[in-house]
Amino acid sequence: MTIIDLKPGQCGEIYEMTLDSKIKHKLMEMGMTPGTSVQFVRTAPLGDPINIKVRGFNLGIRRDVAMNITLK
Amino acid sequence: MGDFLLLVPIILFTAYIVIKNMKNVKAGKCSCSESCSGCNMSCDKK
Amino acid sequence: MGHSYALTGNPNSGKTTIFNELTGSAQYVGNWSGVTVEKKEGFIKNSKINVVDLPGIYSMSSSSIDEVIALEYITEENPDGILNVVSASNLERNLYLTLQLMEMKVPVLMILNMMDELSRKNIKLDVDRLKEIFDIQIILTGQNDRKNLSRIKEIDLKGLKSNFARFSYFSKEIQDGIREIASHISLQTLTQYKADPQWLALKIMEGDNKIIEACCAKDAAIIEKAKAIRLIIEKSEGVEFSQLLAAQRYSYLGEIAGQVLIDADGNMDRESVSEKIDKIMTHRILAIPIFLGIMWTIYYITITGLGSKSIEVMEWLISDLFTGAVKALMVTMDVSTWLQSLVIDGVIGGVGAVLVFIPQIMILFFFISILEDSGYMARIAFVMDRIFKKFGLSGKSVIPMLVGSGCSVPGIMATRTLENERDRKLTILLTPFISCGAKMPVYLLFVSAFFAANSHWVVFSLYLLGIVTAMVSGVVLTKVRYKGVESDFILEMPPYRVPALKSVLLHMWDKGKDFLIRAGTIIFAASVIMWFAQSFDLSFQMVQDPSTSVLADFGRLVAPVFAPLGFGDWITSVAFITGFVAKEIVISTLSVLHGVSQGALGSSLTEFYTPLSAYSFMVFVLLASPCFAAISVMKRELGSWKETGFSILYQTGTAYLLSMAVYQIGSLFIK
Repeated sequence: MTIIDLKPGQCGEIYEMTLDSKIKHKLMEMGMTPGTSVQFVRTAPLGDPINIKVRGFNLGIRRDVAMNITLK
Repeated sequence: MGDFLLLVPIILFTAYIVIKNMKNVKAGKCSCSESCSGCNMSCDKK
Repeated sequence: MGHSYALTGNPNSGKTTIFNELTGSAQYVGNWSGVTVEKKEGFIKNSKINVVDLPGIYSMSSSSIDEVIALEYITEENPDGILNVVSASNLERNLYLTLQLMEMKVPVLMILNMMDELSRKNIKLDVDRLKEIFDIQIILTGQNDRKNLSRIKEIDLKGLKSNFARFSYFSKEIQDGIREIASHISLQTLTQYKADPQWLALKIMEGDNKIIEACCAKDAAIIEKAKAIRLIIEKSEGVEFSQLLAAQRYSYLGEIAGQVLIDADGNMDRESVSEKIDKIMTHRILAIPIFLGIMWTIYYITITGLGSKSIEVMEWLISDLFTGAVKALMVTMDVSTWLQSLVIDGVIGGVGAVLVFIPQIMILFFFISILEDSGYMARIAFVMDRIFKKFGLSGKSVIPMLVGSGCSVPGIMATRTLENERDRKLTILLTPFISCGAKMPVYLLFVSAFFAANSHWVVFSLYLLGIVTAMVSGVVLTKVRYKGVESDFILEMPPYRVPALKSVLLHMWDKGKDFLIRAGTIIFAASVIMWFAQSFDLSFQMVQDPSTSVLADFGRLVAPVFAPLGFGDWITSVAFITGFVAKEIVISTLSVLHGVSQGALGSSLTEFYTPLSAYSFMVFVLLASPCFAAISVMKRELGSWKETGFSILYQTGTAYLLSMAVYQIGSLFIK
């Protein structure tokens, strides 16, 4: 299960991120570390990117990134 | 007399602006104002 | 006391607003990531404390230009203390930076901002506990309550020590590693590079190349040793070292947040007002119509609504009132006729032609600044990313481009928030295609003369052409020049905030002032030079008819180049060339060379151009190489003349081809 499998409003806990190390580092420095709870807020009007909520703030990331963030 | 009073400042000011701007362009110091003015970027120092 | 402090904080933490409050300077406030593109400093009111506003960053690593600037400033300039702005409404992520500052063992004073936003969420914060944990002083403040800020100057940060247990949240292996490496850093290194040894050890272990190069590039032994330790830890944990650090820091910050944040009604994740607004603004169906509606309104008010009224007023002020007065004065002073012509046709004609449009440019900046301060710009980026991705760009490129619709210079500098180097270079190259405030006067002049009936549609078509050209160039250049890496999109969407009128007006005034200064300096100078060049011939004899002047000779030399675009006359050629200095100068040039005042310029132009060649003219001005200021900034941000040269050639080439296409294809249909 990954972030994009969540329905709007649903939460999940980050398990693993299989991403390019630069992007991964950036996301982790913004607080997306393993075990963090992520809420799927909504998809952008054109289907990409998506809006997620993490540690109380809203973040926009692309689908192909979200697809590689697996949840517990 | 009136001619002189008017012409000299205009010429001097024009020359000053031209020289100053050429210097600034060379140094890569630019902001929106003038063609190039202040805005000393921290990275400019090196 | 003469201290010097550095102001740090996350993007959107309200750092810039606090800087303005502290120093009273007219710096501009924004709400999207990374508005602090220039280094700004100022003295705290009524004190000798100098504050440097560092770029807004999330972390103290060296992964973006902004981070490198901040890190280098702290390690190399050694400020007496750090003022760390922390947004209370987004505590954990903001404290991540605080934690890293504490690790550097520099004196830190925390400015806890957005306290009112927090209480609106009905969350309480145990400030005493937070103070205890970090062992530092904290100043509380909020958007509507800034009085505590004056206490900063009563606190002497220099030499202040904190007993915060730094590194205690790292695993034992990492802590051991830090101690091990720190003990091996030579005394010589430490005297040369003034940094805390343990922090330095951590950075060397992390493999932060910027720091290693600055401190101990020659000390190969220690670099090897640190690398060995890092590899062992990475192997046993199966995670990259820097990511391990982030994870361990955040798990500690999670604990802290648990201790200090008390949720009054037990519903931490309640939907905020901002999120309700977002439901509409980023709505699946409504988002794009809303965006287009907002842009159309801004543009309509600027061009036709308020804008055209302001032109009338300015024209009356300059051509009737001011010119009349100056003329009368010169007559009483008995000034010779030729000098009167220099002042009236040269200076007032040239500068006045630009001045007329300054209120309109200010209106444009007023709206851009509201877009930024409210937080809506981040949503535009979010909504548009899908489209931009198709053209090889990131949605984040929207931000530099929107800023660039005011002026390309800050637009190009705003590209620093793009992490991906390829996205950044491409955006720098494409931002000048977006029509800037200085090009607007050129369109306004031409549409009022040629397309008065549907002026805003014609101007709109030009803006659109700029956007389309940028997009198509994105695809072309991705294929040809910037191959490889895909674009990224990671963007914080800050809470919507009501823009403070004070800072919006300040921004508007700041930018308006920039254009006023330009008018008073380079446009003044260029107009004077132009007047002389069109008044004398090669043998320095004054000419009766400008078309026998030096300038005309020069213009005629270049004119054939522009003939395929629809104009073979020398005046247009000169106007294009002076356009490299500043885009507004195009109309100053026309005004001086046609020898008419601002009001009459329009009708004089109709004798020179057909509507078709007028349109072709505007297309060329829109797309051709940006002004000197923008070129100079491009060079700085791209870091090479080669890339800059390519951009200029690409832009001017595109302009040439497109305006030729407009003219040639147009001529087939219109006679």
